This record gives sequence, C-alpha cells and structure tokens, in this order.
Amino acid sequence: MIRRMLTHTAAATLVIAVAAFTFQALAGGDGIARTAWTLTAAVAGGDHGID
Amino acid sequence: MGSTDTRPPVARRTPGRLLFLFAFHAALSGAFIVAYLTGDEDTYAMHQFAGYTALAALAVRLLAGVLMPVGPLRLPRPAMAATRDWLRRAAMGDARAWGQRSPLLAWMALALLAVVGAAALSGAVADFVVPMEKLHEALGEVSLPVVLAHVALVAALLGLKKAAGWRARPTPRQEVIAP
Ligand code: HEM
Ligand code: HEM
Repeated sequence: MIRRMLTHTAAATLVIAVAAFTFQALAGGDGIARTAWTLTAAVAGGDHGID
Repeated sequence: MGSTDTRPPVARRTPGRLLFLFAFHAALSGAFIVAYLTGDEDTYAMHQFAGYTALAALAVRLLAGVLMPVGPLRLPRPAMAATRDWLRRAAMGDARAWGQRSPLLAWMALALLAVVGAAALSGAVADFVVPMEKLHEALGEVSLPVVLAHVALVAALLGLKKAAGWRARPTPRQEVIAP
C-alpha cells in the first residue's frame, strides 16, 4: 500500500510536471528553452524571476 | 454511525476500487507537488495546469465517495472515541494497537481533503476574482505542513507496525538452523 502510494506519487509528479511544462511552453508561446529558464528561476532561484 | 464500531460495514476492497484510490492519490499528490513548486507569476500556466488537475482529482474523489458510501471509497469519517481508545492503548505499548489500522488515518485523510481542497478551490476562484489571490496564497502555504504531516504519519505508523511485528516474534529463526 505505502510503497505503491509512493511510487505512484513520484511517477505522477513527473508526468504532471512534463504535461504542465509542455502546456506553458507551447500554449503559452514561450518556447521550451525560455520556459525551462523561467521554471529554474521560479523553483530554485530564490525570489528573482527571469526578468 | 456508532463510534464504537471501528470497522466499515462491508469493506469490499475490490481491485478496481483500490486501483481508483491509487490513481486518485497519484493525480492529487503529483498535481499538488507541481502546483506548490510553480505558485509563482512567471510559471503561472504550469501552476494553472497542475492546480486544475488537483481540483479535478478532488472532484472525482468526492463524487465517488458520495456514490459509494460503503467500502474503501467512502469519504473518511473520523471517530473520536475509537481514536482516544487507540491512542491510549498505543501509548501503553499494546502491540495489537501498534499493528492495527490506526483511526488517526481517517482524521489525516479528512484534513488533507479539506485543506488541499480549500487551496485548489480558492485558486480556481482567484483565477477570476483577483483579490482572492491573497487568501489562496495563504491556503497554499498552509497546505504544505499538512501534507508533510501526512507523510510523517504514514512513516511513523509503518514504524509502529514493524515494531509490533518484532515484539511478536522475540526469537526468530531459532528453529530453522538445519543441518
Ligand atoms: C510522498 C509520499 C506519500 C506517501 C508514501 C503517501 C501515502 C499514503 C497512504 C499509505 C495513504 C492511505 C492511508 C490509509 O490507509 O488510509 C494515503 C492517503 C492519502 N494521501 Fe498520501 N502519501 C504521500 C503523499 C501525498 C501527497 C503529496 C498528498 C497531497 C495532497 C497526499 C494526499 C493524500 C490523501 C488526500 C489521502 C486520503 C485518500 C482518501 O481516503 O481519499 N499524499 N497516502
Ligand atoms: C492544490 C492546488 C494548489 C496549490 C497547493 C496552490 C498553491 C499556491 C501557492 C503556494 C501560491 C503562492 C505562491 C507565492 O506566494 O508566490 C499560489 C499562487 C497562485 N495560485 Fe495556486 N495553488 C493551487 C491551485 C490553484 C488553481 C487551481 C489556480 C487557478 C488557476 C491557482 C491560481 C493561483 C494564482 C492566481 C496565484 C497567484 C500567483 C501570482 O503570484 O500571481 N492555484 N498557489
């Protein structure tokens, strides 16, 4: 039970992250490279955005 | 529901229903992690995508709980008396309490559904009513400690269960020393 919850959580996080990323990159019109940069800045870059 | 009866009436744990629970947990926890990490203006489209995924998962879970009020998909119904009883026995070192399914899990599940649900719902409202953003950000921040407590509780209960197993077998494997 716990092991399955854990693996499902990890797998779903990856799938949803990729889907959300693709959504922002393509539908948002930012492109893959710029979105990757924005995401890195938002998650790991303290409080500074891309601009 | 009588609070002395800790067992669900007819807990039919069919594979299909368990699979639904795993799928729901996967969708909600995955979407929660992505939404929490992207709650920033610059990653707003990602946040929207993950947030609405979480909201959809919760809606489907709620519907399943209402349609199937018996079995593993029923919505969590915490019982105060059973919880007090379990806490007392667990604190006194009763190995049976350590090994059994803890009534704390129902409280935890309810807290998670409520707090994460409030975060996702307020987010959807803030999508249209901008002043709601402040409330949504607060609810988003509050939900993280609840989720962390959930993972900690699951790990702690697993530890208790293991400890109960060791205590039940004080001298393991003595008789399997074969020539
Ligand atoms: C990362 C590791 C995680 C593990 C190992 C884990 C494990 C579990 C387990 C074993 C249960 C079932 C408890 C029971 O027997 O009743 C459960 C339930 C639940 N978990 Fe998690 N979980 C994790 C992360 C999360 C996250 C990130 C969320 C985010 C919202 C979450 C939300 C829930 C909810 C709402 C339930 C109740 C399910 C229901 O009854 O509808 N979990 N979890
Ligand atoms: C489980 C679901 C969700 C969680 C855990 C969550 C979490 C968060 C957090 C923590 C913030 C604050 C970030 C910060 O302070 O910089 C935030 C901001 C925000 N979220 Fe969510 N959220 C969820 C769902 C949603 C949904 C469904 C929407 C609807 C589109 C939404 C829209 C927003 C908006 C508009 C902001 C303000 C962003 C800004 O700074 O401009 N959220 N969210």
